[in-house]
Amino acid sequence: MKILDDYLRQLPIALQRIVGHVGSLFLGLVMALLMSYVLYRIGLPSKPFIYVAF
Amino acid sequence: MSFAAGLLLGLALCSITARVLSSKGYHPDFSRFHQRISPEAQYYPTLDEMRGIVRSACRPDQTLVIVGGNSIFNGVGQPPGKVWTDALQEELGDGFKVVNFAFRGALCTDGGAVVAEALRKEYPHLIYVANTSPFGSIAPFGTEPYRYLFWEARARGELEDFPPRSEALSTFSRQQLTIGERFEISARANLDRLFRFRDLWNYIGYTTLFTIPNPATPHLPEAIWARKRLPDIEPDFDSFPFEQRFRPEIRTAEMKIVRGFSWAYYSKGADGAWHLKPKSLADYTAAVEAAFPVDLRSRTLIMLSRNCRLYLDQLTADEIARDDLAYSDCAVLWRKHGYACAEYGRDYATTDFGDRTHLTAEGGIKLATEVAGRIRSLSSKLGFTKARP
Repeated sequence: MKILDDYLRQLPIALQRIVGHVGSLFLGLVMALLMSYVLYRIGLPSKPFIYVAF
Repeated sequence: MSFAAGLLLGLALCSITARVLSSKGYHPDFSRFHQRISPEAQYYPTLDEMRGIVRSACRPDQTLVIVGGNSIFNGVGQPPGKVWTDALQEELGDGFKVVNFAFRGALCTDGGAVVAEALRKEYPHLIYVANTSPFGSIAPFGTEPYRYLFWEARARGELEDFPPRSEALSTFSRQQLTIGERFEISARANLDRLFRFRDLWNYIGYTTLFTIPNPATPHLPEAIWARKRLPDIEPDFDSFPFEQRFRPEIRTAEMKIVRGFSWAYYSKGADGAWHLKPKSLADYTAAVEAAFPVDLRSRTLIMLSRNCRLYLDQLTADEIARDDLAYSDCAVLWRKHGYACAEYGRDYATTDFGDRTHLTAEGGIKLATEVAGRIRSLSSKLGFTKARP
């Protein structure tokens, strides 16, 4: 992380801002996917339906 | 700010992607929801997924036949290639498209019934056929574990506004569900309506990677295989010896079930004849009344399933009379409310049954022939097809 931080600090300020925004946007997208998955998982029953016929 | 934008954009993208993928359909060569792509294996098909199956299979010039009901109509004991709905498709020919949405342990108001109602405008030439037993449960909003489809369709405004069903649902919610459960059902259905997470992850689970622990594939690597890789492994009743299909140790229990088809609903009158109890009649009438919206009834064929002759032959003459009366009374009641209704299996041989109630491939062919005739006449009565000379 430190290497990445040092590298970003060397960039021009305007570029630093753009990279920051793009990074945040990407993180938001990943969180949306994660949130979608969590909503899907918590909606499923903890135990599957067992069909009994004899 | 950018993070929030990304989150909203991501949720919107997930929702749009899920809608597009589901509506096109991703079950090529669909035959039925077999055990490994059903709630028994933690796979819950969504409404849009099922509509996608119909859209990809049914041409606009065909009459759509949606099959609902329980394991008998799902084709339990009939392996791929011997499923009765394949025979039904063959019997009906190219003018019809048969789609099997029956599930194990489902009611005639579950699964296929919800899809049929949601597709009523898109497919005006639609016939719904399902099975049930006389005086069997007919919750108008389905039963667990398939009721999720009803909640899903209701939250999306896909169901008709039908007061008898709304009243039954309101009574059920008041009496059977806690405030917490009602909130959970409503919140889940409404969140899914917006974000379509069930559609998205079902698509991923079916086509790419399945992430839910389930008893059908408990071990790696199969546990995470895309569900499309799992073939339908329904066993064949015909490969089981007679003693395994009709196991002696459960015959007493099975006879109890057979008698249960009618004994609780009838009483002997002073004339020595069986009479339907007024409460049974009132309860069943209310259930039939609330089962399907009025405009769908004329397009609905209810088949009353008979038990295997092996068990029926053990009934006394008096019990047979009561059993016959239960079937004819129920059929009259369904018809009186605008449905098409008939029974099947009364004259089937023991070899047509794989157990007390499920059919072998041979029995399935008999059922298909019988149902095809009724569908053809219903279709012609509704003006979907011209009557055959």
